[in-house]
Amino acid sequence: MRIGIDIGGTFTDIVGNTGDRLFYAKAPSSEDIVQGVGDGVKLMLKSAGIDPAQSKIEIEHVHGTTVATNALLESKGAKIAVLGTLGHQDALELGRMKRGQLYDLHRDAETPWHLAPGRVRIGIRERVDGRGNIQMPLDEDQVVSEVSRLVARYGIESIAVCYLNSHLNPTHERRTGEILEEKFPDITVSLSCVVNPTFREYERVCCTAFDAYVRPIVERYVAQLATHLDEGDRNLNLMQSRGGIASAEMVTHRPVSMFLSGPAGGVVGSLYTGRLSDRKNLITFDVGGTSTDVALVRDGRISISQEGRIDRFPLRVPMVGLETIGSGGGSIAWVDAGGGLRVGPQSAGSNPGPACYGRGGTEPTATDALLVLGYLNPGWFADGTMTLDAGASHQAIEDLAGKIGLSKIETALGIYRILVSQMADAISLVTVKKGEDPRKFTLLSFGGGGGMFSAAIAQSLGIREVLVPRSPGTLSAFGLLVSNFEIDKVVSHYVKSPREADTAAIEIAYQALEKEGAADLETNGSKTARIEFRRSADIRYSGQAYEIETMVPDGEFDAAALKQLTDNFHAEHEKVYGYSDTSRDFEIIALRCVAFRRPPETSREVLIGELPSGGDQAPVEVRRITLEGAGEVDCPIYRRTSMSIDNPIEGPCIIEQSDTTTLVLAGQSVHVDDARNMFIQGMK
Amino acid sequence: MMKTETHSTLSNSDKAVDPITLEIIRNRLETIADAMQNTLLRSAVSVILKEGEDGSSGLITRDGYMMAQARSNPIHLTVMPTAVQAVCEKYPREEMVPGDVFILNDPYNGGTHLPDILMVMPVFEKGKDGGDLWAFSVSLGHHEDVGGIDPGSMSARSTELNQEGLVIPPSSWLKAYKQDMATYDFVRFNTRTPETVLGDLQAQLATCYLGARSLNECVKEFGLETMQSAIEQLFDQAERLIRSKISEIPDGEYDFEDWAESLTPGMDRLPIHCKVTVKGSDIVIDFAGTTEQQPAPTNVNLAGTASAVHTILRGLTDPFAPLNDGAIRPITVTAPEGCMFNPTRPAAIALRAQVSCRANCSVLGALTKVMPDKVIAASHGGNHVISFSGKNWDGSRYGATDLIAGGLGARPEKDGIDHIDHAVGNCQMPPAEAWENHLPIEIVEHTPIPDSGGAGKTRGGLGVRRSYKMLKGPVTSCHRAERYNSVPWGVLGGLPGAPGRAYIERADGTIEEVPAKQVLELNTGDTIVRETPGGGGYGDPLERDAELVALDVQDRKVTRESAYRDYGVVLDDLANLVEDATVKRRAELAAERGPITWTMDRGRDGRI
Repeated sequence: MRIGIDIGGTFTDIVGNTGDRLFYAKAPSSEDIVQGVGDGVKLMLKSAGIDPAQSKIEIEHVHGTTVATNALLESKGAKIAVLGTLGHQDALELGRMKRGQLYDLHRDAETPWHLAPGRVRIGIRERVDGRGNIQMPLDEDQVVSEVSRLVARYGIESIAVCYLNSHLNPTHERRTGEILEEKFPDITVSLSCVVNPTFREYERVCCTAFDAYVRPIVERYVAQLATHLDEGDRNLNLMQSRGGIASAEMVTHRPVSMFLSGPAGGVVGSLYTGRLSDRKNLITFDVGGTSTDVALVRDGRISISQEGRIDRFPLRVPMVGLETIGSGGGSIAWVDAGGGLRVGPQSAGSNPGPACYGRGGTEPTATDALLVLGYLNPGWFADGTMTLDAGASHQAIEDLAGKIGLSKIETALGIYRILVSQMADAISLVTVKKGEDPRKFTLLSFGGGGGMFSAAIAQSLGIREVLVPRSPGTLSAFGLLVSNFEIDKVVSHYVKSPREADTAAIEIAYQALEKEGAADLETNGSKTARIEFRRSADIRYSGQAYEIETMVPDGEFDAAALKQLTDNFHAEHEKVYGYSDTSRDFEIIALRCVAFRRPPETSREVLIGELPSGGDQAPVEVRRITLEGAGEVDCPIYRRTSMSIDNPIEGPCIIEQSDTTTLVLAGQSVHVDDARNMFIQGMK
Repeated sequence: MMKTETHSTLSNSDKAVDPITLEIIRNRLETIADAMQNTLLRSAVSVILKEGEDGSSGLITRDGYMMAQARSNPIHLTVMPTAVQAVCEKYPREEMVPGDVFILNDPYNGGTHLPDILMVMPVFEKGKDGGDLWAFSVSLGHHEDVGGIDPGSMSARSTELNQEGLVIPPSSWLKAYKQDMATYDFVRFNTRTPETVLGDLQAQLATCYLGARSLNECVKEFGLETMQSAIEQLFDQAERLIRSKISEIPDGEYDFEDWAESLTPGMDRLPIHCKVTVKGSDIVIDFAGTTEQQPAPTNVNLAGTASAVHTILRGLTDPFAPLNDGAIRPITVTAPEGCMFNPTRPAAIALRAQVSCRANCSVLGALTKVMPDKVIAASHGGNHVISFSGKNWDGSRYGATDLIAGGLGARPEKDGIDHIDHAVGNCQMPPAEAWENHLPIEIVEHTPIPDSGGAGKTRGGLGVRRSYKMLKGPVTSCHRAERYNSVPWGVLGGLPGAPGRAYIERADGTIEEVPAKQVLELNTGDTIVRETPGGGGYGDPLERDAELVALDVQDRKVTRESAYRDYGVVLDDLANLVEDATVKRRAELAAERGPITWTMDRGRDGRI
């Protein structure tokens, strides 16, 4: 059986799949994460009636975790050193000189130099030239003496090695790795030729340094977790940023692939949730406290970016293409020095949080406005774990209203309208930038806060429908259950022009990647499912500075495949950039391969689970709320659990469920389909 | 000339728009500008526009005031209104009809420099169906080639405008949606790369259309009257915001002298004079006394000078203020005709960006004396550009450009940043591996220079040394940089940053010093070494946390000698702090130096 475990800030969600039924469990996330997981799994097994001590059942654990992200955000990563080529050892700090903030004189540095300041960045005497030839041999003694010094003086625990041109010739990096392993067995080592073997030294060293920074943390985490699982780490698997899972062993080979482990599960879960209702084009919309994450599912596939960012720094590993919008439930409404009303980008976060949290926050936030408008139930928030102080919200909004000369209700409605307009504008920018028209998508709302805004945003963007999954809170855990095992491999392979392409050499390179990928996957996942491969190539028009990942047809790479690749590239370029030029020469920069293994097929019936008994679908209460354009209205409040299949309710209404609250506007209707997904339709 | 007027720009309504709608419209206008910018970059063809992002998009009112501009290159800030005015002077608004589109690039009539073509499209109340002309949708693109003596139209050797390429006065590009073939053919036959240029102009057209269409949707949603009132109110809001910040600056006249590097033979540096007058909430920047226009492409027109001034004033007032006309109303920029910040035809102007950067720095200098606690110390002064042309391994010709930066000046609360673009530009340095993998040039070194950041309580950011070895000559190279003959100043006791420097290490080992700007001939085995300036320091170096100085030495940012000499910090053999000796050394240095009575330290140009 496969068990998906998603550890959130408050709860750990667990979903188990025995093959003929899904079992859900929820346990409070404890200080000791590992203990929390152990408890949760026991709870779930108990509800499934399985006694692991008795039964011989093979359990496959799949885990989404924020351990890597938290280490970074809380600056709790390892003490690392960076070894570089002498004369280029400071790329991590010097970066590429571009600035993200144009006018702010007091901005912070653009590069993640804090991972390894100058004292722990060492220039090693070695040189590979620009065509991959060794120009100066590696000074092995220097490696040993410098690292000994750094360990003694700075307590270095982990080392990133990134030499110039190692993507062309990794001999020196590999040799350095061997030396370190032999002489310093307690230190973990990240080699750029393993972690991210493609050109551009700044981006490569960033990736390698982040890898080294979280490596000991991830290794420790996995080891601890394994002690709590009866099978040890044999069947422990983790979600990677790309939205595929890999064994704990594989992941610890490249922990830098873990930064989006948490959110990636949600995107995969969204994909499958949409599929159950036959929706293949989704904009996933996850409203959190300080920000909102948006991702695209196109034609049943997650949009993957080969070069993402983490904490505003470049991170060149495949990851689900999440775009972050700076508005969330904690966004603060304020008045600027010119008298204009603004909402965000400052956020009260969750601590102190909105005024209504009663944790000392006094500034009016989005959540306070929602409470004043009557959209949220103060007595039942976050699954009943919190009571909100409505009085504090009213006071905070009232204070703001005084500054702009509006009534309290007008101000709260104004904040809501501004947020809706900001989020809608941002979603429109994000989708159009990717060459897509938002009106062709279903807006899938997950996370706690999405349901407040999704109907209004869909309406303003001309999106036809909103999908609210049965259980937005467990979407991530569900995603873990249904993910492929996936390993990605990349190699620099420069081809100056398709006319000069040696297809046989490319085929050999692909086969080598597939062999590596297959070897990594060999021990992963159900052996009954075969290993499949997906090839792609990074291509650009001559003279361009950025490549586009282009799909390569299956089968041997021959002249016909090259022709197909050429067509694919022009088409992809057309899609992303709005034009293509078939007469123009292009260059191949790198070859990529994903090796994957599908999970055992689970039937739709099992994934959907038992159909609801069909509740009475009667409102549990009627609340006075304020809606744009309609003023104060009596709004019926329903429980999601009471809704029966294909039985629409007319808006305005509010649907409450344990992990989210959904606002349906006047003129819209809401129903649950036979996959137990809830849809809001009838946008004006 | 930019004028300060607190005019009412859109006065056909005095109906106040509620603050909610106002904020929604403000967001919407900014989103439209950003969406236009996405379209421009996405649909452009040339590398410089698509990946160099050297373009801008904006929305302008009927009367030529900026409603919103995309977050793009600061050097394009505020140039669009000038372009709209130039178009309207030649083509009266009353005669414009839906589907009209105009272009221009004349730096002396609405443009910036010749490669930048501005496109202006009038926007009508009812879209295609006409009605009142109420706005303009504008895009700007830097084009790959518009003719002139050298490919790229960015020659360092031009002495007058007409050598730099095709001059396009305000001209009709589309008439009622129909291509004006006369202009089209003129452009087409006066560029070396017609497909690329026409392709990019197509991208600009798509950009203007998107802006116009989106504005039409706003009119449908909110009504024209509400839009116009809202825009006027947004101007007032932004103006109040900026005025409230300017009011915090003490009234007075503040003079400052600075220098730009020269490309003109026989002149090593060019004096700049800047006078800032603050009165209440108004501020006037005047460049009277600045060097006359140069017989070289190192001039910048007044619109470009103003962009540079607005960029630094935004930083000093509110970097996050809305980007509209209101935010610039309190600011007036003047420069006498015929000086290098306001040249007259036919002065060459191609390399204007570096020059405008100098205007930016001099305003910072003038205000440093009066608001030393709000400013930052001086930065490295400009882009440090070098281009190479030669033959590749396979014998084919190549031309390629490298841009590098120096240190940012120290801030009251933070050290400067090493190697970062500042002021008007925002470019990305190519990776060493891109050079080495594709061209016969080796990047021997790219490292920070110890002690290049000025000492201070907070330290200046470091400049870098980047050296290029020619693996296959001959190569012609054009090198241009700033702050070789003056230094980025330190503030309130902070020491200046190190100046820049360049030299050629010939294959035979001889060393040749190179001035700030020069065309170089290089051969196989020659190495050109370029050092960029560091940022100035801020505050008394003797007050810098001595532990931080010890770490700076360990981090190779400060030498042991400078720690002892400038910071009074004594270290042991492992560069750990020796506290007692440091206290003693600092007391000695403080006594020797006496109190800090100056605001700025400009090295050889003295303290003021």
